Amino acid sequence: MTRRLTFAALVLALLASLAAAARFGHAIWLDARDNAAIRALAGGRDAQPREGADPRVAHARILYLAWRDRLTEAQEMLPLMQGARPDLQSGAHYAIGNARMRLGFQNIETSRFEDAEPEIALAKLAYRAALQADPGDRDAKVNLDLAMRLVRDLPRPEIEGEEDPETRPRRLWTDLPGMPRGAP
Amino acid sequence: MRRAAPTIALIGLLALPGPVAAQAEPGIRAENPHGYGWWLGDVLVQRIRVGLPEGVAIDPASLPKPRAVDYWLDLREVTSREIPDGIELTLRWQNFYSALEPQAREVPSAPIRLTDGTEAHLPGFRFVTSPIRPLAAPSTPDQLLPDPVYHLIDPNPNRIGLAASGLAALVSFLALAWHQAWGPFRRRADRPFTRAARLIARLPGADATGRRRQLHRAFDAAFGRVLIGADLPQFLRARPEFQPVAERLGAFFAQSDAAFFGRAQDLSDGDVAPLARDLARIERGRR
Repeated sequence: MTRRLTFAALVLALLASLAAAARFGHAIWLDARDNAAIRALAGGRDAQPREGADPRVAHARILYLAWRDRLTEAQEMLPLMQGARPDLQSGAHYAIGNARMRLGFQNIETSRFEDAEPEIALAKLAYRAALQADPGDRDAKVNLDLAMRLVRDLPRPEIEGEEDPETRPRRLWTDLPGMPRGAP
Repeated sequence: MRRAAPTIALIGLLALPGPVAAQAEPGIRAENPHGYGWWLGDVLVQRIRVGLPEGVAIDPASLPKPRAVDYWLDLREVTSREIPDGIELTLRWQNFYSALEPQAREVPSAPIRLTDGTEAHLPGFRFVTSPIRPLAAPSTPDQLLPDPVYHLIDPNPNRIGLAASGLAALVSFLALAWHQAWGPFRRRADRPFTRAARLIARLPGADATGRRRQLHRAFDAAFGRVLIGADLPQFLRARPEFQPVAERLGAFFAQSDAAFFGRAQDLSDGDVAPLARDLARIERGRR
């Protein structure tokens, strides 16, 4: 009886460890594919993340797209970052914020302030999202501060009769005070 | 900055009932975040212990909801935990006030309702938030911090996993080979029937006596001394796993007695090889 049990246990252990080895081998192969995609994106070649890829591939593609001002596509990649590490999520939002800021600065330099303001407002939202994902992201804090100096959040006058703080509309209006001169 | 001033006053007015109500409600004790040293984006954690009489709870619908409380302040999360004489609320606020100089901000108090109908206030608090960049820092494109770096996936955890599971597979295969007397372990002494079955399979077809002899050697080895037909019940008591083939063993020993000591010299060896195989299988726990 003991021998039969030992035989069954040994066969089970062998099968289980073989299955685990197969799983880890597959995971290593997928890691290599994902890393190849990340290297391609970092090297300036576009690569689509595979189905169920590691969030770091989506992160890399968002960085790639944001640097090339393909912000609609970058925005569409954001849902793939769900469940990723906070610093990766934060980095993805931060890269989009930086792209918006660059567009905003371009518009400011050509004196198209009406186009610059919405870009910087969107950049602020992106930096806020970055800080919501990772409140300790110091880069996002600095750049959000810079965006806030360009287009400040300012409170609206209190609306009468809206007593309940939960239903009161978000009081936000922005303006672009002054004219940043840009670097000499 | 001048524009913000009336609002701060208004927020202050809103917050005024807070501390007063908190004093009127001796059951509410707040553990507020530190009053100084906060930047924009920082999360401020406020713990409020609400002492409740037996059978009274906080109306969950009256708890403040996570939302943008003000243009510079988000309420991220409200969690509650039972404590011996009431409930502990944890409010996580996030400050988005971009200060040009250190400035005190007022987090408003919030009304709550208890299930017995009484109203109470969760107290607000003040904190000083400081600018992260110098006041005179220019707002130019070169001040923008660069994009984040690309992150590669670390393949080492999976590599370690593969090495460990490969090692486990090797160890369990070796253990199985030892247990089944395969390969280098085939000469193990305590698998006499397995050895005998293999030898019998290799013996030439005409050597019926040789086959029989090999199997008897195996019985002797398994019993620890020479096993004769009369000792068979004793052997079966010592090795009960062979009980299912007891009848065939009895027949085998009877035939052997006839072959070696009787006159039936031309007795065919019949099922010696299948019997040896079956005994070997039982011995290795496979039947």
